[in-house]
Amino acid sequence: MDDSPRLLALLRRTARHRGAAIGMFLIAALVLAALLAPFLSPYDPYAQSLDEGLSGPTAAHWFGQDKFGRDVFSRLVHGARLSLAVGIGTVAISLLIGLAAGSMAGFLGGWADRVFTGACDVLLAFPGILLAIGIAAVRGPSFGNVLFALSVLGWVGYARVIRAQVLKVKAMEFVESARAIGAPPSRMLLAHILPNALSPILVEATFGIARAIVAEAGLSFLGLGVAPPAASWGSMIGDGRHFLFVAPHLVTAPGAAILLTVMAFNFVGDGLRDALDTRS
Amino acid sequence: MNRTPLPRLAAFFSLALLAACSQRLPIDEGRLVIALPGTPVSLDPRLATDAYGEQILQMTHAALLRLDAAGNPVPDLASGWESPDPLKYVFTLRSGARFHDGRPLTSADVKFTFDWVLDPANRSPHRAMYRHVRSIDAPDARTVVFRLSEPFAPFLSTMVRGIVPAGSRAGGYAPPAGAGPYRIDDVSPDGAAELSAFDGCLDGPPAIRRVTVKFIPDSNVRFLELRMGSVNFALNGVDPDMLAAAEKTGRLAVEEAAGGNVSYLGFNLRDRALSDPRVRRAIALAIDRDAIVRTIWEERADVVDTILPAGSWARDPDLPKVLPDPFRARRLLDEAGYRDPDGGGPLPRLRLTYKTSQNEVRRRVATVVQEQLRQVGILVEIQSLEWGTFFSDVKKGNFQLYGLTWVGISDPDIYFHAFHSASAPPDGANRGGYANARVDRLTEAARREPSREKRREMYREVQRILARELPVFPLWAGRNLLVRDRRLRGFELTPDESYHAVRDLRIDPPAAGPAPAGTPR
Repeated sequence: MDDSPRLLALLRRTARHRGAAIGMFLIAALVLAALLAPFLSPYDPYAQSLDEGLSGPTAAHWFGQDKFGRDVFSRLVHGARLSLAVGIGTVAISLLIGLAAGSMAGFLGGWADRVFTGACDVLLAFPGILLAIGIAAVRGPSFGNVLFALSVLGWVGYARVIRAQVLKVKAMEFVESARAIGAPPSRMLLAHILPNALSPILVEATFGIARAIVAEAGLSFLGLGVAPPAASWGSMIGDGRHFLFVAPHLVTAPGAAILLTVMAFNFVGDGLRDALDTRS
Repeated sequence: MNRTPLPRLAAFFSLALLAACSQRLPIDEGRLVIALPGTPVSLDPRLATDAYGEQILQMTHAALLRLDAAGNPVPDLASGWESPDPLKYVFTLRSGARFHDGRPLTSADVKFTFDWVLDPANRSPHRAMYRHVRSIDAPDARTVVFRLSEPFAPFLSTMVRGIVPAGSRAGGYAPPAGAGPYRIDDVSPDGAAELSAFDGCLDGPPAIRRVTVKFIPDSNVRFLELRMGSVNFALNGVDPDMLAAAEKTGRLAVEEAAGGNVSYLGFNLRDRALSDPRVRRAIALAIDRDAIVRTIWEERADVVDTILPAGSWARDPDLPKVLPDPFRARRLLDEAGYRDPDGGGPLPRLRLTYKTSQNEVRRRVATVVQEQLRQVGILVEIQSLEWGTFFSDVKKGNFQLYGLTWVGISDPDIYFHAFHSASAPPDGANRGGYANARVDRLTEAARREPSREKRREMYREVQRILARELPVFPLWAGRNLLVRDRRLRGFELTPDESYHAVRDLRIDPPAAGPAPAGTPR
């Protein structure tokens, strides 16, 4: 079965939502910036020119230079890679685990479902960001550790949504008929139930990317994100806040980048939700 | 009828402005407010080891001696001392000394204080410092006799510990009484310590009657409070980048003096790469200390080639300077067998980790060192760790490179402590595992030698050996920076960041009664 016409139709319906259209445009720009970072950034994001530290925006350095004389614009563009990678990576890992756990629990029911629900309740009792801070603090700052710290609890939300969807779809008539004609359980789950249970997950995942980007920025702000000298928007704000009185441009540029990115994903999430809502 | 709210708004804002202008600041009430960048761990002079605790104790607890700006011992509670032989020191106490609670301070209190520190049951962290003391006697109320088990030249510089009344139990935030110019009225660990002048102080009561010591960890907050006037004194509490902004306020003045805190880059000599002196030399040649001092420290530090601060009598002024030379650094790495695998490509010659605390300025230094070493092909991973973890790793030898600062070096015996092969942690500070038989012999002999001239010669030779072998790379001595209200006068900055001189501070012009409302300040 070819899903691309359905996907295109969905995108078109989403783009009718004005906010979502702006969001999609921003995300496309961001993805382009991330992909083309080495060509877009006028300077090496790590190269220091110490004597030019804290210079404000100029024609040569559009967003100014940080304490080490590094070009803020180049670091911002490279930071986009990192933010997107963390956002998409975290959601992908969480989704994979959540999809497997949630669909099995919903499909099998019985004791498997009870164990799953109990485990979810226990895991959701942990404050997510505190656990992530704890993990990052123990394991040290690195890209892999950020992904790990954010995915450890990140999957639980997806798993619960999937389980609820699977339970709902499982009781529908077309699934009953598939069972009646003797379809094996694996085929019922993969071919009939899951494809019809995915829409809410798509919305959830879009918001999830935004949440992961904010969480990464938070961890990096605290010095627990990626290791220096890697450019992360959060660590740029974390380093820049010490110069709030002398070089406010160091926090405004990455701050605006985080704001726009998170806003874009949330707008698209809203649009998707409306587009997938069968009542509308 | 005019219904616009403008006139009313204007009146409101004028009144608010008037109220703001007439708001009385602590200094108008004759109160000194000091900002410390952290909370003291203990305020008992027998137990405190942290800088913040020691700094408060310098205002509240008098000692037998204290150190002057050049690091020489001068009388405090003792009127004088003599040493008939290198194993015996006799101190005579000044008459009339009293504790804050009115009890007279006698030689029995001095004996009690040091006996308490030496008693293993009390687990004082200062015990190792007095391990040469064999016995303490108090033959009369004003005489104390210390007998040593072996000659120990730096002995006098250890007599700066605050004296507490005989029989005092260990106290953390409820410390035993002292005999210093201020008494501690109240301490709240997450807020501030309130001190008030002690009229019975030997040197007369201090001019400023009330002192608040606020514990403010965030440098931005410290700066804002100084700017607003709710803090009026901060020693090394404002980042170098903010000093210009501080001076611009008109209310604040910045003073600067040579500092005694020397930063250095530590190497682990047990590491295969770093055990090679050529690799250590190459790292030293790759680092441009002048550029770091100029940009990260805003010129508020001095490059050093030994770990002794500038004013020290034992310092060798003719040590060879290490000047940055990336070309020679690469050649040395080639010679040591760390060739560039891809000729200027992204692959490094060598990978090292650099551990540092989370102190903001130290993290910035690490970032610059990382980039400067990348230029010669050494890929450095920075691990910026919480202080407890970091210091424990350093003491355990769990590092390749680390950046740290020696605080308050007062005697060149530091060379025994930091470089003698037997000075491994926890009792010593030879964290990199350095061993050199000549340095061992010299540092042992120097601490037994009573003649300062002969000690100087020995320490100069030690410094020359260390400059050649580079078991650590000395970086710079940070200057002491005082940001204070312009009206505060009389404080003498010393290299060891001493707060003793707080007692000499006065407010000029003096704080009078209630200020007339609306007086612009």
